[in-house]
Amino acid sequence: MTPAIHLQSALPRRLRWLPGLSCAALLAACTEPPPQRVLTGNLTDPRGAPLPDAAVTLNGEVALTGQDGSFRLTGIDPEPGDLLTATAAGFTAWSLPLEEPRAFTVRLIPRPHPTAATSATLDITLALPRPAEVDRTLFLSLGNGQLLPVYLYVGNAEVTLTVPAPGEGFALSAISPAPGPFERAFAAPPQQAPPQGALRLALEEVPGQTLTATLRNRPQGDDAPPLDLAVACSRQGSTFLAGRLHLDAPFPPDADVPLLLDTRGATCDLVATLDLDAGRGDARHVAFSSNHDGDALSEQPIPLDLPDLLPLAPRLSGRTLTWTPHPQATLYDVYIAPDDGDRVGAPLWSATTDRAELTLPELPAPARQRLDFDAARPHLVRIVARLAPGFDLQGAWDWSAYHAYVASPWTEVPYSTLAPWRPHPEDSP
Amino acid sequence: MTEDLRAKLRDELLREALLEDVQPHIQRGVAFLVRGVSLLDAGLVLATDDKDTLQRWLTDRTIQKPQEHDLARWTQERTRFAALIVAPFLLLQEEAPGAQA
Repeated sequence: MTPAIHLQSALPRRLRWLPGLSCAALLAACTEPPPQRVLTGNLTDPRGAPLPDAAVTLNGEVALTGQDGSFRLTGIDPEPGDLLTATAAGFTAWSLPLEEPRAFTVRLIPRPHPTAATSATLDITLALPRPAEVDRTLFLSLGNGQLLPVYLYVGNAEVTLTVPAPGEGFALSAISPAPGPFERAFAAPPQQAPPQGALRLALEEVPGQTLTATLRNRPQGDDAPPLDLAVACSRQGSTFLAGRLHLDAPFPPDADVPLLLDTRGATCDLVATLDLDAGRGDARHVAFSSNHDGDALSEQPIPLDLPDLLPLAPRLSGRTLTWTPHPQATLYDVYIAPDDGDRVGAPLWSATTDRAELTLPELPAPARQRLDFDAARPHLVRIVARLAPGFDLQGAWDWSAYHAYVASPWTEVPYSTLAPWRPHPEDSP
Repeated sequence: MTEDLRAKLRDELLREALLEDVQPHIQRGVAFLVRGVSLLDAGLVLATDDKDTLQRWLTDRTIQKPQEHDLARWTQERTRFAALIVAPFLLLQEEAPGAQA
């Protein structure tokens, strides 16, 4: 716990900076709160009748309409393109991008939900093919992007759903997340929306994919770092975690270990990576082969050449940094710092990229200044990959410990490798 | 003089600050986030009243006020900060993940 921060400088008075008018004025201008505005309007149905108790949202600020359908949003600072959204029971959500934020009186007319009056309530029973202990949560998908968690312990589970009436293209499926290592995966085929009543939904057990990982050249001894292997399934541009393998030392030489993967019954390309912190600097080789027939992974061997996938230390070739991509990351940060303990802070370079390569001359001006200030010292380079914001694991896997994937350890790079570094014309006074 | 000032600023550098430590200053609008340059460099620019550099850094957002999405991410990731007081302002910098001290 750090002590509370009080804005009292400990500098000797003779050295204490008293902000001059110029810099102080610049920062003080930044401290002025943005102008707060008020957005008012009325919400009506298509017939013009006021809609009370409806929610109007803008930039996270929510206002409820009164009995006369009026609303008042305060404390907002809208910009063009901000989305004004209205939701009311029995009506579809209605959104309006603000093109002119000064036009603060908006009349909203939500469209009625086409099937709101004909929805059905169903008692759905999820039935296993045979009694078995499952002890896991499945997700029921209504086909409209909404997932309903259903805990399934053993046998059957019952759940009540409100679904559209028959004839609306209703589909229902059960999805098992892939938290890995998993026990079973279940799926349910899409269902035609039945009339009101009960529906018994048979679950089908989906076999997982079993791979065998062969570990070679693992360091021996009880103090060898653990192996933390993640295998991701990549399909049509989306990637999800298919399984994980964690092994603690000591490792038997050339060990074959089964690795159970959940590919959700679909064809996908496998990519793998290691948690570098778990085995920094080791010489290692992991090969995969599939022993599961009758599925998309049965072609043997699966061409996973992990030495090429391993997140090795960044190699500095000329002015280009290369590293091994992370299967779930599209955003990379590059840190470059002298080794004198100075705070390196936020990354000098960030980019959304599917290439594991950055060209140093593209570094922005502050980075150039950073690299220039002392040629005598070695520097440290580190690349950190952030997981894509849209990474989808159905909310069932706790990735909180993996929010930032360290794609390389801190690696000392002599400044001479970075040099010659010519000042950029824009940096010249 | 500059080296003396840098050394003094270095002595004042607060590390491993928690969000709750700096949040009151963020709410007061006197906290500024520094990206891409070291806190010492930023503090030195303020201390020497280098208006041109500060103007450039404000323009390219090397120094900027924390945004709402920053706060949300910091809360979620339990970010720690390095902090440097240049009264009446507080300069902040995210601790790099796994940064060496």
